[in-house]
Amino acid sequence: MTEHILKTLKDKGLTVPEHHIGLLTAQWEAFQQMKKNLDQANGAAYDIGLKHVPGGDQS
Amino acid sequence: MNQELPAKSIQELSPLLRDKQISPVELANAVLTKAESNNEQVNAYIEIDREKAIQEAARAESEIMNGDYRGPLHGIPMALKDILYFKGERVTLGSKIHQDFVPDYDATVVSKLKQEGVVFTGKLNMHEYAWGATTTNPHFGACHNPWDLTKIPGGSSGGSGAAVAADMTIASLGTDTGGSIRIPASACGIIGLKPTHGRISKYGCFPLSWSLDHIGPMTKTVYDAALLLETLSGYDPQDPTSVNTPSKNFTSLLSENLNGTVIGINEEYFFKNVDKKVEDTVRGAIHVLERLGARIETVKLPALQFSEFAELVTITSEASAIHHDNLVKQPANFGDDVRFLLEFGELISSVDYLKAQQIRRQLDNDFAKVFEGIDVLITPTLPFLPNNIGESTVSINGKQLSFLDEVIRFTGPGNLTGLPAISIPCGIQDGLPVGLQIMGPAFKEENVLNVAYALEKTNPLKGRKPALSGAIPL
Repeated sequence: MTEHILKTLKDKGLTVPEHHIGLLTAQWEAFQQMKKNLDQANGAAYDIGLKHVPGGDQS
Repeated sequence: MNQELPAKSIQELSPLLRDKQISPVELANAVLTKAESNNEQVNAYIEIDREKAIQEAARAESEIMNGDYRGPLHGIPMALKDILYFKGERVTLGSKIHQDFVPDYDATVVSKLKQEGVVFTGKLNMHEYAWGATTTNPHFGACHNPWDLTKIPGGSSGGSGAAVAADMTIASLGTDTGGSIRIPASACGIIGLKPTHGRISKYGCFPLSWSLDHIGPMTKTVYDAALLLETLSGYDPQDPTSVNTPSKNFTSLLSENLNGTVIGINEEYFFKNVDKKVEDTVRGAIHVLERLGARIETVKLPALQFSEFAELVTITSEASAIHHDNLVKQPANFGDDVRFLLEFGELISSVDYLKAQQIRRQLDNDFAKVFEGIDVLITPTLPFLPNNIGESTVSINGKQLSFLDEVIRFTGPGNLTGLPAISIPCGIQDGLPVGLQIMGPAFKEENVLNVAYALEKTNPLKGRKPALSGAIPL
């Protein structure tokens, strides 16, 4: 997991301080736990409602 | 008289200024002196600008003396969070990277306050780029809670909360992306109102998260919050999230009559894992409101179980997009905690981001359905009392839990849905104020203001103020 995190950030041109590596891994694992019950969300039924205004905001 | 002036509200000061019983210069001097004196301990201001403030106060004085009274904000001293643009003035965003940033235009809210004749006394401390809730700022120093200088004032608008509580400004504005108005309002024992998303223009406010950011008043009283809301509301074509809906005369809509008001309570989410002292205080205030005539109903909001995911994903993704270039080019110039959060946001996938937006629609629907049967929803603002400066954990019923995980648990849903929400002090525990959050239906800020107004009339802090402000110490 730690390697995946570091590779993802390195590929984006980011350098990560040594003391962040453990913290990022822990936060990522907590995030994965948070996602575990998302399948109950039935989110696919919802259009996110993102709006794009043709012609720009001032049109 | 002069020493008492900084403790007064806008509502108390306006008639004194209008009727020439006090002068704007006299008032500005009193507030500046209090700010200079208390700032050594509280560090609520990044910059106090005495010379400019006195010049503006002199101009207001001249206008009022000549019969050109602009209204209730004319001559009122205010300091704002240092994230709002002032044309030609340094605006730091609480950062090292932008420490010499000078915008070439005013934020819409700044422009509106200038038109009203507000006297600006300086710029207030904040969490760096508003990305955090402690206001332990690595570049400008930690802001301290005036009730207990060892505690955080909350954040990100911690300077605004502390300055209002310690009478270092008459009122202020904050910004709120996950709770950054309401959290410091709760921690510092003042009023903090996050209006409906789109009600107040965000033009000229440096973003943290485009879809979650709000600007709102932080004040000593509910009336002052209503006054600032009606002053700052209105459609602004320069803010793409601004909503073209009529503003309201919120002060005239204020009523403490709760007969017929239905208050919703959600036990499963908003009263779970709450420190008992906070919970008891909030429940006690709800009973007070019931005695005043409100009816209490229990409500279900199933999508709230996903709200922490949606808030975390949305705020981290949008913030990391905004700061990406600087994170690549000059990462060492960010504070360590902000750099960590920005790194984490780079890891979130687009699929997760879009799922989070779907959950926001679910939340919108759940809340809309619930508000068909209730006027407001009441929750604690924070599940814990303010923690020590420098600590990364909080104590909830004896358990040490992550500050980051707990701090926006109850305020985040207001940002995800954009619904109006206010924090009002409802009591004191361990010498620290406890905040109660009142949420309402979209564009019905009067609902939350009225319930807050009724609670305020019961004097929940019993007149107590931080010892710093010169009032009787606890």
